[in-house]
Amino acid sequence: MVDIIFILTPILLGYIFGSIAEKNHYKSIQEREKKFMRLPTISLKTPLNPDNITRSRLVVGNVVISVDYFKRVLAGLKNIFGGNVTSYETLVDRARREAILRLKEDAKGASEIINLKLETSSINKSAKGTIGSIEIFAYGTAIYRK
Amino acid sequence: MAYIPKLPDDTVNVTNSNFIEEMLKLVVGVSLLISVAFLVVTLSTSLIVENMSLKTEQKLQALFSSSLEIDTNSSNKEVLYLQSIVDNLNSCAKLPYDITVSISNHKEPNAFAMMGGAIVITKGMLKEIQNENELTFVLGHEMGHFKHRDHLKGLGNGIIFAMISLFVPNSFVENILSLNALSYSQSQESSADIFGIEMMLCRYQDTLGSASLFERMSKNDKWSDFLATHPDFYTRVLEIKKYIKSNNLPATKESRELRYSFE
Repeated sequence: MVDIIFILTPILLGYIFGSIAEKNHYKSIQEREKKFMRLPTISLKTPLNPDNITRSRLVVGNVVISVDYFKRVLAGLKNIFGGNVTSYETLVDRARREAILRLKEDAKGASEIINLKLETSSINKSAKGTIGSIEIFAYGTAIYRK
Repeated sequence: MAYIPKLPDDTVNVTNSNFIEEMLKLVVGVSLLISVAFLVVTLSTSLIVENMSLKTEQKLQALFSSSLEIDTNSSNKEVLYLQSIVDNLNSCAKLPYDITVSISNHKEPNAFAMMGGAIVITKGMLKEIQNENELTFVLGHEMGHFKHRDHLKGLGNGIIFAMISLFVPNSFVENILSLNALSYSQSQESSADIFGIEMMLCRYQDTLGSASLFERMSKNDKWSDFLATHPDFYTRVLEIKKYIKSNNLPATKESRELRYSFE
């Protein structure tokens, strides 16, 4: 009985706090995406409009999000049967969108951001007994006009 | 080229799935898999183990005894005392190999029959034992597990547990599994109890002390750990008493005192 409580508690806590954090995060992401919607952010190497450019600058956005126990156990069970690890999809999605938003916040006053690139890495990947987290790093070139 | 502002589509990169439902499905699937594997392996190992020759059993024991890491302090008088009881009992039990006793420092009262012919008894257990009769019963009980090849049958379960811990790389899950892997089934415990009684009869021509230890245990809260691996004490006490009564076994002699008080 004690064993079961030992296993279930972190999973339950992970589910409760993980879902609350995810819900709040998505709310904040959607609000800020609306705010930055009109700032063109593209992966082209050249600006959409080459006129009137005064300067350009490297802008970066970086985020680390931790996996919760519930998601990890769910993904661990998926290892046995295979298939999409849906529990990690929201995690990666949140991290990617948050990183791009931070990059946009970094590019204050820019008229567009070009050459957007994303890098990803996982922290604690090999450490046994630790719970993993995902890092997404977004970088691009901000273009400023008169 | 015109830039058309658009909010990201929330449904493209994230599957809209119910995690709880998915979790339940996976847990049911895994438990089904485990129980099927468990059944197949336990049934086949017990079939193999029961039909194994004495020679093969000896070979298996020898294989494990060399890899066993037990702190056998042979100069320790307490260990020597336990060893002498076991050696005497083996003339009754007639096991085809030698049994080594060792004491573990654990405070939880427990005793184990392990591969390689090793009996491990915890300090906590020794503290609870009040006379030599009770000690003989406990050691006889563990020898019963060897006699019935319960430890070999347990190997099958060990394989399953090892497999589970491969899939679930979680340290505390592993700990729990290895703890439970040491447990025997209720019927195995009961037949080991009866073997313990037979050992006492052979050694002392008396059965006094066979039920007294368990009777104290079933009333004591401290035994919860022991209960986890040795289930249903109360039933076992009843079964021991029933066996003694139905076979008209003597329980009249005075109990022998312990040669050492294990403090």
